[in-house]
Amino acid sequence: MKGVALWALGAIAAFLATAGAFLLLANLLGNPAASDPIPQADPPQAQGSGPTLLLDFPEDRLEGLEKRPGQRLALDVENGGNEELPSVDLTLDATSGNTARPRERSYWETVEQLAPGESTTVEFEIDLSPQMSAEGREANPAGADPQPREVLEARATTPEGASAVKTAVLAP
Amino acid sequence: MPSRERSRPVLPATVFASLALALTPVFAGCGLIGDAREGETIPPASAGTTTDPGLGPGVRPLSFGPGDKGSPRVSPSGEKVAFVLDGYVAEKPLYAQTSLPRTASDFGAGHAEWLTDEGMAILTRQDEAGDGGVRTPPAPSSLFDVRPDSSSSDGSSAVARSIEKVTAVGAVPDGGAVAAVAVAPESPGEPTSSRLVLLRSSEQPASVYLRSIKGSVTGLSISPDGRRAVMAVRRDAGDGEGRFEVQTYEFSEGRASRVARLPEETEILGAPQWTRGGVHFVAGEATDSAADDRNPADYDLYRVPAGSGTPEPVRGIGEDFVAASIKVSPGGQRLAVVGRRNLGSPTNLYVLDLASDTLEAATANENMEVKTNPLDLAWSPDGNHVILVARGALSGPEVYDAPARTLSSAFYNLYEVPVTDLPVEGESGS
Repeated sequence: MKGVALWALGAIAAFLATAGAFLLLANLLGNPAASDPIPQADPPQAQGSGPTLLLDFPEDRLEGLEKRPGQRLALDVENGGNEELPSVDLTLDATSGNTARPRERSYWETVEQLAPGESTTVEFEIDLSPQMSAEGREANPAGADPQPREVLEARATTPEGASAVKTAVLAP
Repeated sequence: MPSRERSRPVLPATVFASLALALTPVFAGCGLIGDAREGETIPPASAGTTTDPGLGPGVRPLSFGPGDKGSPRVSPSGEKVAFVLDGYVAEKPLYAQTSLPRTASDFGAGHAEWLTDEGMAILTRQDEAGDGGVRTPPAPSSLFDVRPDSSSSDGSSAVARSIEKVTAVGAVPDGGAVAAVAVAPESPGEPTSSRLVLLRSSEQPASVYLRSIKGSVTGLSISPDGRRAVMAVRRDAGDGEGRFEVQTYEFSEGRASRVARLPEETEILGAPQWTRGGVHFVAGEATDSAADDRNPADYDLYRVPAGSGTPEPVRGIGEDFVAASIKVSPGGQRLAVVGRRNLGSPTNLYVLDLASDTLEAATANENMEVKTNPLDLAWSPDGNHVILVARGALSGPEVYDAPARTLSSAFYNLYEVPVTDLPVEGESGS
């Protein structure tokens, strides 16, 4: 009988200790939904894994762009870190703001060997012509914005995990 | 002795089973077991983590990313919001970041209303603009219903053709929709008429109100108590011209009655609203060629007091106020008004307290284009928020330090505006 009591006491003590430990763990790790670290609207700072990679998308270079093929757009990328970057992959996605009939054109370039503090300019030749229907008119489903804003999203990434993103929105 | 021998192997099993049961909620709280968390949520504006989109403090974006969004509708439970996105219908939990399409991308939706089972009644787009900028009656559209939990992620959705020749749709307060259907005249000289059809859920058959309405219904809303429809009706004048009337339709009596008749060349914008202070509506000259959804003409807000029959301008908003769209609150005591204090002012959301006839500014527009179509305005079912659609004005290229899918003010997006405890106009110094 004494043994049963000892077993019961020991089990209760183990239960309480384990439950307490997990409650502590839950308090430390559990986040309320309202404070989730989510991407926010129009955040003021660049996203990415740190200040090692900087991407510049000067507005003056965007002003002359027209809705036709053969548009030239230059991006500046800078190694803001202390170590040389063996390579930086640049992608530029040109999409219409129309989600019903998305027209996405993607462009890639790779920059080799970017020394600390060094910056370089990469030029893309892009096609901003609207998507045309079979009848030769600008394709636009009923109800969609007839003049959606054009979106240019540039992204720089390194194999080491550094990244930077810039989005340009062009008025129709 | 035998009981002691039996208890030894049983006791640890019992203890650990109890332990596992007791710890289940703890594990679940840690997110280690159970359903994965649903997407990312939008924090409240009070959390201070969102950038002011340009509509003033407390305004919270409800959608993000590219696309022309409009016609927001909060579900009767208040948990979901549906909207038209580039001509198709999308829905999402109110504070979730991402939405799901409910129809195919080429649906051509104009606006959607929630049904009681969280299915949807979807009206195809109506083109309003006529030649020379003069508005013509909208062409009849088709009303479809979509069953709950259907989506078009697989390229198809549970959409069934429901009603043809629909000219206007209004939401029933606790879910459902009333559609005005054009009735084809039996002979060429006969005036047009309309009938009302009630859709409650996607499973129930539609109910038709047999007694017809004289004229073509161009705008329709349901009173907050759900007892009557309030309509803008265009009556043929015989010479090809039309004249607008405000009519009501009592559901219990199955009878339409005229509330007011407007002067010639005056049109009603959107749907009149039944309030405790009478029927309110926005009206103005019908020949303003420069007017469109984004640059409304010089329309005024009128009220027809109960038993009056004569529209009168609403004085509480000020003489120079340019009204664009209105929507009565779920309780019927307040009126959300999108408009401008005068022709040179930015478009803002105001709330008119009908008991005191005072106007309160709910937004402080800095540089946003607020949609002024009457369909682009909605109340939350609890009456604490108004949902509108806006985007930042753009004079040239704009560069953001974030992916396009996380941007709100760069594109037309939905915004939740708190409308409780607002400062009365003139008292805040604004």
